[in-house]
Amino acid sequence: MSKRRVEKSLTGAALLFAALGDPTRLALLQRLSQGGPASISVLAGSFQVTRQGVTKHLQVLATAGVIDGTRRGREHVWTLNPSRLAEARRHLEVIARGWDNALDRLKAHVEKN
Amino acid sequence: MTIAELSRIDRTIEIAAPPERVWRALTTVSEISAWFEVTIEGDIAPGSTLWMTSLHAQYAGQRFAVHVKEMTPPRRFVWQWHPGEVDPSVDYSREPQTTVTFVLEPSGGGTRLSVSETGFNEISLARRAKVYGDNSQGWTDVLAAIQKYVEAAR
Repeated sequence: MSKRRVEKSLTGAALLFAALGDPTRLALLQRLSQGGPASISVLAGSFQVTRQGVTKHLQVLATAGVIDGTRRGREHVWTLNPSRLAEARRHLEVIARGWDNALDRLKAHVEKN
Repeated sequence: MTIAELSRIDRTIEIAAPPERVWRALTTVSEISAWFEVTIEGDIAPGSTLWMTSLHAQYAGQRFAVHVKEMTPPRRFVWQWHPGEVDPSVDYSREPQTTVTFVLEPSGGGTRLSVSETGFNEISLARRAKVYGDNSQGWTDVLAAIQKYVEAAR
């Protein structure tokens, strides 16, 4: 694999975590993951955020690919994209692997001394 | 998978030594240097800030601050740091940190050691992007390996 492709995937990860780095957006995702697809009016109704504010957050999430929007009649309906979230998880797992290696070294260190 | 799981890392390992021994390895400068592959400036004490410099081949020379929040021997050791911090020209002091908690529990004749790193959801937009950018050098090999594995499995 080329270095450029790796860099591209990292840029994608940065975008993704940036999208997740906000409490309202995390709450929106939580709502979509538990309550299923929802329209902006429904989402705005369940949060103390203006319709305009919700729209802005949803657009950030959509740009990061975490949610998908489809038109249903006059309304946009938003759905969670689980595969993109799994990707976020994989990136955390890269950090976690760093911990795995450190803990393995700790174990070896303690058990031989 | 829940959304909450995206903001933290949890790991557990069984070690064939009593908690007192593991505690010493976690909290003594010479010992932590050996297994965490860092040099350490400063004392490991509650409330103290120490500086670690990586000796790991991939990150050699990177220097980062570790803030010791809690030491309850031989049970709980908590520190905070800025994940991915590498740029010496940037002042990170006002940015949110992740919290690393080590919990030691007796298990058989040994120790069950759990480590959690929490607070990834608190890291700001710009910072989050930078964390992943900063680490790109170190992660290149890991990501390359993952991609190779995934592509071979197709």
